[in-house]
Amino acid sequence: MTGRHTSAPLAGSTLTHKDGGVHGGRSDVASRPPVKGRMMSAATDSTFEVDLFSPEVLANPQPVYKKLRDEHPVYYSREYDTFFFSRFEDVWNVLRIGDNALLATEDNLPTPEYLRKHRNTGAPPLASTNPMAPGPKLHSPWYERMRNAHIAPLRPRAVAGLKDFVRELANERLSELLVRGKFNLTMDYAGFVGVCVICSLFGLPRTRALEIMEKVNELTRHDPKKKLAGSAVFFEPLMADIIPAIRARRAAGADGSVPLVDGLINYRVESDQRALSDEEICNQLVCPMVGGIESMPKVTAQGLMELWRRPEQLAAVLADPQRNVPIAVQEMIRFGAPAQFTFRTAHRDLTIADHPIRAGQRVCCLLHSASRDEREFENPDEFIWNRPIRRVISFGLGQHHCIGKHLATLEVTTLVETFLSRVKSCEFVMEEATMNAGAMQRGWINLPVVVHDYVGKS
Amino acid sequence: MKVIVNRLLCDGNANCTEEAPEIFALDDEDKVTLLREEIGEDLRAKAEAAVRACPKNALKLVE
Repeated sequence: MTGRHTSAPLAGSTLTHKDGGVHGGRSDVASRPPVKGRMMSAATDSTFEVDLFSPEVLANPQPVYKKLRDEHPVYYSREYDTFFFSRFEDVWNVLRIGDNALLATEDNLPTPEYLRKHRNTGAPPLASTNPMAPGPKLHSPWYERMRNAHIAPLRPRAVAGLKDFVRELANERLSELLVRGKFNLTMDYAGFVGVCVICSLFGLPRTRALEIMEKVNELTRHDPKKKLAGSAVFFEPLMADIIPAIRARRAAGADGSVPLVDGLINYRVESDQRALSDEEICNQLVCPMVGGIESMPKVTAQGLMELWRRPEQLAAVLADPQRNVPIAVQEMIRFGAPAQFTFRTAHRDLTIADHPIRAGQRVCCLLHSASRDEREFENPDEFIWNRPIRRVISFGLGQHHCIGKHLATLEVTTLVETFLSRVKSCEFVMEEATMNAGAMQRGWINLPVVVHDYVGKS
Repeated sequence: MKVIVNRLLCDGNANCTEEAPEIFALDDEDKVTLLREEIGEDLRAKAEAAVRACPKNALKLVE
């Protein structure tokens, strides 16, 4: 296990020791010997303070991420009682820590207000298993039991079987949009196809697609004038869409033909053979619904734009799309994955990267910063379609590793292939584009494209 | 040397079967299964690569 952690109770100690390890290479964080004499995080450096939730940082996070990586790789915020990890290697190692040491009991996307208000004096209580709490908050083995009860249609082999379905949807949608001439590449094209796939996985009619997409996008849209929302914001509004889907599957016999829902209906709690209620099942399905609608379209649209902006790279990909698009998609994911970070709460004392972390304190892994870490990627802020990508962090890692990774990858690949096979000439209207600069999700929610020429245009 | 598999954690990502097809396969449930009990020195590097490649951290090597 590379994400080693040691149990280090620190009775009476503070977090201000000065000889913590300044780690800069690729070796295991926890095992790297400390470098004496250099101060490393804000815990020891009173001159540097940053609020990762502030409007200024949200508007333009990259310079702050770089400063953190270079100068404060383990940055402690007193305000949030949170250690922020910004380097690839650290994020990689922290997320691999298992055995219920780090859990999302306080939500993986807590709001700044919550963090300010709640200072734990020890590990917070574990999430309820009766009734069953929302999946992301659960601890092992409940987290895995819930996940295993609905993951079947998202496993690689099941997802591979969706290729023709997704291609058909993409072609059908693109035919409508090409006639229109100008459209929003994120929502009208990629978003619409993504939500149709989600409807099919939930056993919902495709006629609901637009309405559900609008709702999810409204919930994730960040207004700088309003308070930041945590992931809890999704639960209540989406119940209205998910509960009827669960009821419909019950009424139809839940025979396994809609395995995402049927698997949870047919699940029985190990100890007493209790079945889950509609609300408990819904708690497990909010995450796949939001995940399937929210992130993939932004990666697809930005990826196509980055490629189109670089004619020599576009030409290289087009030389052999079947071989090259899947390679370029890996770079599109690294470059544009919208999830900025993920939080965990320590449920026991640990030491990470030479930093003692007490039970109840939080860690935050800056996923997007990790994907732009110079220590892992050469020229990380450049889009290079065929760059070597040794390790992928954009889908998270460990217990919460993205359940929809294979579906998202297949969708981006198919949408990019379809667009490139039909569009001959187009233009991105950046002055009309809208960036969602939220803490939870960052990316182009409106990316207008005007298609000048396409295959079969009369 | 042996590989310990945590089947509860396994999502069937199949990274291990790519890194070390001599050691790992997916079963009918798309979960990892071991093709051999004992891992010889000749397969050490591949076994280590597979353990590192598992995004769920579901594999461990024990001497």
